[in-house]
Amino acid sequence: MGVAIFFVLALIAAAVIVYPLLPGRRPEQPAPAVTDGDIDRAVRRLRRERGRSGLSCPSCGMSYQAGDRFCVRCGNGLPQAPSTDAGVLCPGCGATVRQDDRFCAKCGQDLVVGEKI
Amino acid sequence: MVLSDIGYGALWLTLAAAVWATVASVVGAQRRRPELVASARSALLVTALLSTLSAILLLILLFTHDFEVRYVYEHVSTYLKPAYVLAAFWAGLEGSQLLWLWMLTIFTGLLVWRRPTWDLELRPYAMAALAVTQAFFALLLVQYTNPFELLPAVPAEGISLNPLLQNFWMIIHPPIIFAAYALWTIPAAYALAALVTGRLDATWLRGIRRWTLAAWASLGIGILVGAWWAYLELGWGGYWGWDPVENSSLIPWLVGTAFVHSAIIQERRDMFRAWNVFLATLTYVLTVFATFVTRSGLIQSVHAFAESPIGYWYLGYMLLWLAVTVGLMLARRRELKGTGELGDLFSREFVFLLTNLLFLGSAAAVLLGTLWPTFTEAVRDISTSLSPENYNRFMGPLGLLLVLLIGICPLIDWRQASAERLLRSLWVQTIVAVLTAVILVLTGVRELWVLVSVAVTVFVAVTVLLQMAQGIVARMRSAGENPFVATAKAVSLNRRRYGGQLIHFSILLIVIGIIGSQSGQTEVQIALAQGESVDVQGYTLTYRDFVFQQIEEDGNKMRNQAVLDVFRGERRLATVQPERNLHSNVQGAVSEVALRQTLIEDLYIVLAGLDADGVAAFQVLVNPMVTWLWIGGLVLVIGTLIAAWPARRSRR
Repeated sequence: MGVAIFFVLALIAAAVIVYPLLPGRRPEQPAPAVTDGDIDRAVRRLRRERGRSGLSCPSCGMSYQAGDRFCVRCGNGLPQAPSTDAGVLCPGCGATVRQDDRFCAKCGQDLVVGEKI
Repeated sequence: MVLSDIGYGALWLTLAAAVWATVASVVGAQRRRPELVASARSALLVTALLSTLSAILLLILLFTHDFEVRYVYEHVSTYLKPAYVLAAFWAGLEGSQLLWLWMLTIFTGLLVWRRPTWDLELRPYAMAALAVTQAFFALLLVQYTNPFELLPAVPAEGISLNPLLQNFWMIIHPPIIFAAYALWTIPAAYALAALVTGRLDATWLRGIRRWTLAAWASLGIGILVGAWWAYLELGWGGYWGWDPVENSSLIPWLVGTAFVHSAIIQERRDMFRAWNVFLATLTYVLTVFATFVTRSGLIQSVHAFAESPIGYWYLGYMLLWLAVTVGLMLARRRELKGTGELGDLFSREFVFLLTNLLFLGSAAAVLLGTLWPTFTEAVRDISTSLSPENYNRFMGPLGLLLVLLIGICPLIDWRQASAERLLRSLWVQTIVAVLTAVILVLTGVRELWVLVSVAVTVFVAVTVLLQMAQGIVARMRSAGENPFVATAKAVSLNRRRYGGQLIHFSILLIVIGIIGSQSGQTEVQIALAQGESVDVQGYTLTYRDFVFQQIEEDGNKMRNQAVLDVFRGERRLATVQPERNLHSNVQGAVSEVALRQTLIEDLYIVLAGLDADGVAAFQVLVNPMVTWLWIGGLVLVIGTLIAAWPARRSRR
């Protein structure tokens, strides 16, 4: 009697445990959620990249990336990197634009038209 | 016969399912086979059901007095009150092992029942760690501590439960303690999983925060309930004696408290990663150590539980877990460096660190004190144990310092604090604390340590209350809400903060109870003949009547009872009946203390001896403020519930 009940129990337990392994029952791999770890890693990568730019704030020495206008630590205004295409300014707003740009990224001025005039 | 066979068989099946769960979850995670992890999850639900079956069967055997089962024969009898049959379940080694496994499988089952997405990576490894632990317990149960073992013949009557354990609080104390031990497995398992996967950011801490809180609170409550039992049942007038078994639960509680706090720092500032992994593991390992202490007979204790070689299995298991964790920590030392830095020496982070070190220091001190007799025996062949006074001498000041930090820490800013701002926010509580001390001096308290510790505790209590009031008052002013609505809304919107503050407040209530009861115990020992009276601390006790050697429980108990009327002046307050009984299953007499409690003091009466002619010896104690320990415990439960209650908005 005891042995019979034991085997019934064992059978039920085994069935429950094996059930998820049946062919039609394979769960899809859920998309991994973005965890704090991912964000941490991303932040650290950005920090490293900023450090690699070789630029540092003249006021406090904090490193910054080309294009940053203010220091993230002291708030000091940062010297703007000289453009490789020096001298080309948007006629509409005065922002630096590249030679082959067709529209100004800042104000939308049609640069090709401007050239023609 | 059939029932015990099924119970034993279910334990074997639990072992098998737990082993499968371990293998399947690790392989499933390594090979990226989710169906294997799903099967491991099913196996963990199965172990919960199987161990529940075993537990129910043992209960049925106990309640039906099936004395063929050795455990039943040793722990119950036909004359034992049914309520205490429940206590018999966990009174012995075998039953308490089953209780532990049962709790562990139930909590593991609850953990894996829901399938949140935050721990997809961590979960299989945490499951494996929990499953290994289940397998370990199941193995011990089937091999060494089988509660279903049969006797060669069926005895007519059982030995019955030790009368010291026949107490309501002994029905609930072991389940709470073992629930706490089982719950502490979860943070340790996730710490291990975080190490294996390298996901060492605060995700694991945040995900299991509620489990951690439940573990921490149940350990604290379990200790308090144990203290309450000792106070009622052991009859020496105190609730805490720095006994090795008491210490061995306090040590993980101290380390666990450090963990609960440093986990907050990692959540907020991403510091102390390695520290948290280590503390979660250490707390868990120390709960296992507690069991080793009580079971191995390594340290002599007044608790004198059954000794058994399985103590050394625990030691091995504990060292293995510790070694694996420390090994993985070394392998992951780069990932264990958090992004936060300890800034100014005068900052919240630094005070938290200090708190942590103080908790660990106290834990280490208590551990050293507990092991001291073993050391001295090994070195000099004489076992010298530390007296409670020795413990009080170092734990008193350390505790007071920690209490002070409860008050100061929340006022110190993160990163960099300003001393001026801190001092400006302290004047109200300083005045209240000084006033309290002055009042105490006027009422005749002269001991310096009492004055200082009460002043510090009041200072901190006012700080905590002011902080709680701040948010509520702000709501009342800005939203025009009445105090009740404002309190309810403030608390429900910031459960963690208010729950935490309430927990701090509950600790202060407990501290007041400790200070009060340590400050002025009055003890009178006196022999009285029937009709005589004695005055103790404003109480008049009149010895009115007695019962001498009355036979009860089928001749297994001889009741000796004294009946006293308690007066204060002319007014009769109560009639109390201390007892001193003899039982067939234990040597020596067992006291049933008579206790009259008020918020100010407890009147505690022990019947120390009784003659046939009615001359009785009494030990009468007046213990101040003890009730605040239990009130504090109640507030602690409420605070924890508030802090752990799931918030509606941010369900993770």
